[in-house]
Amino acid sequence: MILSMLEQALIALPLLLGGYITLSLLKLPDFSLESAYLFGAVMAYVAKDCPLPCILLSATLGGIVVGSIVATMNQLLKLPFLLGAIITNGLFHGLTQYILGTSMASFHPALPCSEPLLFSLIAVSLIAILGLLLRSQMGYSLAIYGNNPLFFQHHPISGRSVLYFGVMVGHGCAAIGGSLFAISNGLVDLTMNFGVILLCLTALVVGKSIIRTESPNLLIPLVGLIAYFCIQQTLLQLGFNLKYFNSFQALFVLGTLCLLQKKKKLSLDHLGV
Amino acid sequence: MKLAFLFALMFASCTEAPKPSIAILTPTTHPSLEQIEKGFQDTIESTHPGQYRIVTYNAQGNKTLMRGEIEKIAREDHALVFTIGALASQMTTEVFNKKALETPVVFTAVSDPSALASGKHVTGVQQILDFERELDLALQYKPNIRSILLVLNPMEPGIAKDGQEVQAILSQRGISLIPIEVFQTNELIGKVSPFIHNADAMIVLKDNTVVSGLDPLIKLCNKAKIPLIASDLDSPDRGAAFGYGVHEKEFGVEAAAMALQILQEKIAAGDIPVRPVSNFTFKVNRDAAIAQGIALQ
Repeated sequence: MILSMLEQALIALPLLLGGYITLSLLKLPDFSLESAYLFGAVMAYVAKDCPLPCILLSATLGGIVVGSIVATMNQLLKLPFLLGAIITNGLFHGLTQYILGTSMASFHPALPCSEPLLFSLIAVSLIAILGLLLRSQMGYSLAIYGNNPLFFQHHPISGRSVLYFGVMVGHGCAAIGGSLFAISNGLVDLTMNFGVILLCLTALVVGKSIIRTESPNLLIPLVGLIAYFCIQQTLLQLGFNLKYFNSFQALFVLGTLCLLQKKKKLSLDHLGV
Repeated sequence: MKLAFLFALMFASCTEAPKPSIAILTPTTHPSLEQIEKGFQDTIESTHPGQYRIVTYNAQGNKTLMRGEIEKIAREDHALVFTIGALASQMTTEVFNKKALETPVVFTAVSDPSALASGKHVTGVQQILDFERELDLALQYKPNIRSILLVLNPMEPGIAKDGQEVQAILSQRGISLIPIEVFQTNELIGKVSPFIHNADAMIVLKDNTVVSGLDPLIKLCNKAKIPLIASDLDSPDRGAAFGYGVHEKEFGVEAAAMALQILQEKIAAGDIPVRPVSNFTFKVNRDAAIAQGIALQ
């Protein structure tokens, strides 16, 4: 049980890391993560005959494209971020349909090693890269932007670049998550992105309630994700009627937030993460 | 000595062998899927009452949850796994293949089983449609059909291929086809209305998007007095003039028959060929047909 839970957590970890950057650090209502997740899988599928690094690069670029579009809508076209994310979801819904050409496609790329090892290597690499990033000036700038986007008006750093950079990195990570999910399940499905934002929010809320720190910390998505799959597998093990899993998930987030707010141990922003 | 015997007897009664279990994996809650599940369960229960423990896993349209459920099914010692629909079937066979599991998998309602991992542990029921016969029967009620509106979501699995098949059949008969592609239920009225008066009939395939939004199409057909021909048997009950297909329950019944061959007769799943459900029925909703301009005797 623990091994399969860890494997699932490794698959979803890039998505959660991306969600942590855009939802938690930048504090953006970034529902276009769902598009990046799917588009990453579709772009990985497009490069299916190439070696694995090219497949992952193709997926990451797909995510970066989604991120750059939503950031452009927000920064250059001055649309509210949520509206930009919704429009981006609409655009990429059509684009993924066009590229994939069907609702479901088999996907079996050649892997250089076993899946668990591959997913572990990707997870370790991403954590190392993002860990270094968050310790850099840009990393702190992401957190500062989330707390006060106007901060950069009075400093020689461009707030726009911080947002572009954060959103593109976040979406790139989410896209890698989508490609790993597709590799692991042997298929790309046009509905595979449904509900991933709820997974991100739930895991981040749980992670934040366990790891209480105001500074950027990758343990939040990591612990949150493991806790999420622990809860999911425990419910399955207990024979909980999974017809109501989504409601349970929503109630669980609500309960956790209410409890922590009541005890004044957690300050909530507009996303609660 | 007697006491020891008594204890041994009690122990034996307590350690009765557990029932073999069958896991059902269904992708979401939907009337058709529920009928398939019911058909499977009822068949197993009626032929071998109380002999198997059936556990249902419903993924509620959540792919992460579906993967978690497949992982749990893989960990448990199920005698057989029954999967409904292409996505659940493909994910299950993929995960089982990777884990080198030998648990037999019986799938159902899959249009293109070639996409499933081949192997000696997988078999199932294919979903086929007979458009030739469907159109023949519909034409008996309205022989002067010259053009048909086909409303479809080409992104649904197998629907684009079915659409091409319908087009080929109609072109052989000199009937023109007006295909209207929709991707969401809320597009139906807007996209179909401008063409409704150019057609003598409307046909819908076994297309989840279109069938779930059938009611506005029924209203349009009633207004334009053209018959709505559906490729399933539930749609006439909702107001389509004609429906041609198999009862959804049959997909479960047929799959249960295969499951019992594996469990009772110990035949390897791979030795049972994939087969379709073939007992098609043509259903006419008299009131709807009259409302849609069909003169019934």
